[in-house]
Formats: sequence, structure tokens, C-alpha cells
Amino acid sequence: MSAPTIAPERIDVPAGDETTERDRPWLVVVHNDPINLMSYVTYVFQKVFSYSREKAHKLMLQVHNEGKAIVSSGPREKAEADCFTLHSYGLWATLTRDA
Amino acid sequence: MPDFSANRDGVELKLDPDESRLLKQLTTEYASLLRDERTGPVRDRLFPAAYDDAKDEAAYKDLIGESLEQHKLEALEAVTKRLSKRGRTVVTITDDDFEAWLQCITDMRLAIGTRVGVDEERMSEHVSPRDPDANALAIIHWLAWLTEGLIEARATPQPGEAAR
Repeated sequence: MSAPTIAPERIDVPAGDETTERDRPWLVVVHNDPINLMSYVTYVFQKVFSYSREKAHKLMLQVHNEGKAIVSSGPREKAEADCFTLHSYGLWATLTRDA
Repeated sequence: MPDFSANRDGVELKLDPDESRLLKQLTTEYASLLRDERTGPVRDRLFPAAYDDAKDEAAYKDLIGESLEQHKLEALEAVTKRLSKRGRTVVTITDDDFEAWLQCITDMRLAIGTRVGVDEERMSEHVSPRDPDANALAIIHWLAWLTEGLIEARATPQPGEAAR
């Protein structure tokens, strides 16, 4: 599968406490939906993030049982690329800033 | 019933003529949906918002531009190019096209399910023929079977572990 063709750079204007802002990672959250298959969601987590089957299965169950799970985190560009990839697989993913 | 087997070239999928026609029909409907349905719940489900914040979301949508739509069209093409011959029922899905097939089939399930407005309870119930959406639900389940069959066929069995 081809990599997301989104621009690799984003210029963020630092606001307030620069260091703290930069250190707060972005979280990629996957939400539960009634249509995607549990087996498929597990497959996608393994494929996209190279997670072990155990980790992927655990995350899938967390999505299923708790309604959502943080599946990856990192700098904004990486989080956005992950989100894009999950959307290409039809998963309901969103981005949020770590508190 | 679809039949799956892995070989050197990828995963071989055998479909009944009726199933082959159904899949072709579904891809045609999905192609028009991608082209014509620019707003509404189905569009929102296939192209979800990444951010709650409207400004962040607008910037993200600017950033990705048409690339998600392009990706979905390419995935669709990877499926339709194998179904182009009339009556063809044995399809080899190469490794290069495998993810595209899963993604396209998933998007078709999402589109149909969102249109019908399924919830988890309805998805897990047996489809009653009296249900006005029985056809749509049966198609969603058939596509689910296709998805799981493809994933299982491709998974390399590890010693002491069943292929899934």
C-alpha cells in the first residue's frame, strides 16, 4: 500500500511555553463503530503499526468495550499520517492533544 | 460461497457467477457514490473529521487535499480491474493489491451500513427476511465474510498456531 501523500512539513507558530507545547504529543484515537469487524480492526493495527497480534487484539477490545482507544502518538505530522492511513482503512480515527 | 486459497501470486478468490456480478454491481454503486455524493452521513463516514476543532480540521483537510479520495479511487480500481471480464469468477489478488481490496470492501460495507443506519445489536442479529433492509444487511455480512476469508487466507500459519 502506498504511503499517505500528505506534505511532510508543517510550520507551527509556537505559542506560550514553547518547550511544553512541543513536548505534548498528539494522540491518535480510534472510536468504536458498529460495522467494522473485530478481526479486521485487529488486522489493521498489526499492519499499520506493526503491533504484535496480542497488542493489536488488546487495543481492538479496548475500542470495542470502552468505545475508543489511543492507538499511537507522536509529533503532529506523524499523528496526522497515522490518522490518514487509518481513514484509508475505513477506521474511525481522530486526533487529540495529550493533556 | 467464496472460496479462498493462498498461492505464490497472492490470494486466489473463487466466486459464484452471482457473487461475481454482485461484487461488480457493488463497486459500480460505490464508484458513483464517491463521485456524486459529496455531503451527508455516508461521505462523513468515509472521510471522517480528524479534529474536533474546526480550525484544526480545516487545516488538516487543506493539507491532505484530494489524497484520501484519490487513495479510495485507486483501491476501487484495484478491485474493479480484476472484475472487468464478464463472468470471470476466479480472481487472483496480488500482494500489491491486497490492502486495496480490504480497504475497498470495508468502505463498501461502511457505505451500505451507514445508509441503512445499523447499530451493533442489529449487526449481530440474524437477518430476518421480513426486515426491509434484509438485502443490505445480507450484503454487509457477505462482504464481511469476504474480508475475513481474505485475511485468513493470507495469514501465514505459525507453528502451533492456526492460520487466521
